[in-house]
Amino acid sequence: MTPDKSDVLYGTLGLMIIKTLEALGPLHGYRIARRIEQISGNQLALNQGTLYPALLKLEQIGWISSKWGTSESGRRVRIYVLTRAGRKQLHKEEAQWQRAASIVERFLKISESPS
Amino acid sequence: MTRLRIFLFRLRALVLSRQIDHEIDDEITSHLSEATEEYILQGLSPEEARLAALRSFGGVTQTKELYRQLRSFMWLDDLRQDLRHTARTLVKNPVFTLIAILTLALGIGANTAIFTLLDAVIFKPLPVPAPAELVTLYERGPEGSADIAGGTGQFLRFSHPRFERLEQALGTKGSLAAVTRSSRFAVRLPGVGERQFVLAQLVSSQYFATLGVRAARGRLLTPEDVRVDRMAPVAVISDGFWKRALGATDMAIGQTLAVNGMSVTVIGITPPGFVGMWTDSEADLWLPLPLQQPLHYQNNSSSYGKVATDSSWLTQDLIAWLNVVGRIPPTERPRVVPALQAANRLGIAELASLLPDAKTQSIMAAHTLVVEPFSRGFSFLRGHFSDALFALTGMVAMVLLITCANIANLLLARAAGHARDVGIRLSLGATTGRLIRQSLTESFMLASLGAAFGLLFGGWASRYLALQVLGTSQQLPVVFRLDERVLTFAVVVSLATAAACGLGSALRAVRLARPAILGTHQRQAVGHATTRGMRALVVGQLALSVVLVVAAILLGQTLINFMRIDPGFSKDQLLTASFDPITSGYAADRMPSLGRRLVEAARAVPGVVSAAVARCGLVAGCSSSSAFRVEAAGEIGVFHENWVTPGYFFTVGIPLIGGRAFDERDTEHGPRVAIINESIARRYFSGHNPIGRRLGFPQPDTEIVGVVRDARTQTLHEPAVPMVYRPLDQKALNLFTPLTNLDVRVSGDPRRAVTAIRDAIRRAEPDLLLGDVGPMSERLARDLSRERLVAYLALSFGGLAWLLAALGLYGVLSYGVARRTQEIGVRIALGARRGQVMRVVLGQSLRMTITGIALGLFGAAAGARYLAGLLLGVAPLDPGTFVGVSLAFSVVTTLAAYVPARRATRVDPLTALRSE
Repeated sequence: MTPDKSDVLYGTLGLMIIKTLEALGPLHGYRIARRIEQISGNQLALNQGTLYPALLKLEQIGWISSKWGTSESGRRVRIYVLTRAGRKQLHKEEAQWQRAASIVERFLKISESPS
Repeated sequence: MTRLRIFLFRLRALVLSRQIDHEIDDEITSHLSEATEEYILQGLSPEEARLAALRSFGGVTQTKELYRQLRSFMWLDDLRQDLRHTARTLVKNPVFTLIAILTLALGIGANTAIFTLLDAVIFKPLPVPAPAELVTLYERGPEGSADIAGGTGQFLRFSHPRFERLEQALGTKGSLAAVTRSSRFAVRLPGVGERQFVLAQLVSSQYFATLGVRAARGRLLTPEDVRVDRMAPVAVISDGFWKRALGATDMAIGQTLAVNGMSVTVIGITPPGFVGMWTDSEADLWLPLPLQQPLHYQNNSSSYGKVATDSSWLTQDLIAWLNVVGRIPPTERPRVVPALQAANRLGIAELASLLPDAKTQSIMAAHTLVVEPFSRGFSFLRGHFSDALFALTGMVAMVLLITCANIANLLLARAAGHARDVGIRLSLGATTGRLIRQSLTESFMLASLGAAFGLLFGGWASRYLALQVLGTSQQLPVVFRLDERVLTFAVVVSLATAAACGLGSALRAVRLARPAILGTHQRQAVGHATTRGMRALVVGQLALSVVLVVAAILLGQTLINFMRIDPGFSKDQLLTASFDPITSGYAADRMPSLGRRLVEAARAVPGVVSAAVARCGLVAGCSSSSAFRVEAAGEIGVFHENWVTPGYFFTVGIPLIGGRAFDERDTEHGPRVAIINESIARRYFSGHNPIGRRLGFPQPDTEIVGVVRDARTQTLHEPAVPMVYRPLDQKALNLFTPLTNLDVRVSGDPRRAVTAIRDAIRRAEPDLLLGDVGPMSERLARDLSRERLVAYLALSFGGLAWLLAALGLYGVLSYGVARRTQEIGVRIALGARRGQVMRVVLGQSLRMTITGIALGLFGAAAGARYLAGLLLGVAPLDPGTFVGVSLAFSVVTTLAAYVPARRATRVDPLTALRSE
């Protein structure tokens, strides 16, 4: 594993998945994985396999739902869709995340000042 | 919400586990194909692309495992694995499995059966709302004095005027009800010619209201129904009778039954399970109290002087015939009870003033009213069977413990064998908890299988035992049914059994595996600690079986002693028939002629030597007693009485030891005569000849013409009672004391005469309702049902315990020899003689046996006092029994030890040394 790539924090993976589904609509697992890698500019080393337990968890708590369908290349795949509850949750999470990020950013700025 | 959704997901996964495993497989396969395709488009060779796809996916197996965990209940999955593993293990050792399940089934089943009886007879509350509020009222006589009516110090029955007095004193603080004991009535169903006996009770107006019972159909008795001047009599029937006799139809209400010849309309049906207040003698019919006189009910009563038995008892204070129960909330009792006692004292004072002499008056006046909790109802069995059932409960629990010890031993031996497996699994990261769980799964599986079969066996056994206890072959009272109380008990016992059997081996396995390096010497260490545990179990088993066998021998001797009791009459070649002329509709003045006709009919049967009729049969649960003034002694005594026809003493084989027997002289018009038994002669005429003396009441007006030997006329359990026999023809004519028994002496086997006698009676008296007709020996056998039941059960428990203990000892010694094969081989190689080797093994057995027997004898001595009340003619600490059992155990254990000991001497040193 290359050292400059960051591991995906498990908690943020869920957020990335629902954001992806919001942006692109229904997708199958491989597309979601590729999309996350592309958006992060290949900065994230996503073990694509970890995606599936995360998808299952999201489905269990009801933010996404799934059904069997066909990929662009004609394979039988499971297609994931954002549910209404998921969409609501996404807005909440986005706001929270931004707040957290701005706090951390400020905090880092303070730390940078010479002591 | 979310939790529920997760739960549902997991549930689906559980149900569809195989399909879902496929789904995730498919999804991952598609993912990898898509990725591979994309890498190929980027210019990689198909092989490289495939590898790159797998690399970017990460671990396929880990993903699946993580996925599996997320979607499922882990513990359930583990459980399934454990169950599968255990089932495989059990199937692989069919002999062990079968023996374990069979012994557990026997143990759990026997416990369930005995508990069913114990609960039914002793603990189960009446099936009514808030049974804890119920009380029963009775009078306690002054210490040590028998009542004028020959009672035992507790007087359960009240007269009707006294009941009304108590009802008034209670007012609205609660409610009281009066009820007669269940009694047989002849009932003719609508449209049916045959009459049948039905157990019925007469009850007061508040009976159902007091118990809190509501009608299942129709309505129950109201004060209006129980009014004395009510013209059209009504009745309430039980659910059982409704289903059995009236076809369970709604039409039953409003139908008319002929009860002892009187038309009675059915107004309602009690709820299922309600059978009155004697749970072991179920009533089917409840009638209003005022029907006492029109129905000729004259059973179960005591009278205190001259009473008019044929006029209504409702207004007579000298006849006590009603049990009184009440509902008084516990909080009210401290205030209510003294008020009831005060009211009762007034009633007693009035009654005492009617009695003839100062002595009986003072005894009567010293009676006090007792109000006692009554949640369990009355029981005929409780007094007689309590001790026996508690003793049996203790014994059957010991059998289960011994069973458990055996299975625990087998599992321990197996756990020791598996120690290396366990070590490997622990070092591969299995948790201790998981290992214990797996180990317990086995004992729980055995216990549940055992429990399942045990319940089947227990259900059958409890039925059989209850029939034995009741001495009947008829339908079993509902109180003996397997209900949720019994099921709960069986489940708890099974769980405890599983835990007891399994936990030891589970912990031992883990403890041993802890230091477990997978070395070769480990086996020795394991073996040593394990055999110590196993030996302790065997010693415990031996000790418990010694206790059981000692108890069994004592109880067996008791049964033999009971059967050897000389009842004082000659039971062989004697046949006896009971009947009920009152219920059959015979009027009082037809009794003497009925007696004569029955005797004639019986004499006409071939093989009959003689026949006689009596007011009360022998050991038939019938008794009648009165006060007598004895001329010489000038004292009043309470004696049992019986009215008999000439030839009675010859027929039943009670020897005459002085004077003459009754004969044709002793008619209605002859002088009043009596024959007394030895007890009265000894007590009242010590040394003097009683012949020619007089007794009677209130004046001694009856001449004693004979003395007969004492006989146990009531029960084999009690010594002979003082008894006065009178000629039937001189009996005052009333229904109060009807004839109930015919005795027939035959020249051959009485069993062969049963049908002929029954037919002869039927022909002579077609209207007479017959009870039991059978050999006297059968009636006596019924009288010993408790002794027989207890002895047989104790003997089978003892035998089983003995066998299990011997097997346990054999198992442990065999295991020990197998484990020490190498050591024994070395010893033999170094010159040990076979005899020495054998002595080592036998010595081990002897040490365990002696410890076990010593502990067992100690336990038997400690437990003996619980048996004391059940024994006859043998001391609870009978030295012969204790020594005999010890010797017998030593012999059996030595035999059990001999086989492994011999095997040890046959160890071939070369093979043994090579085995490691």
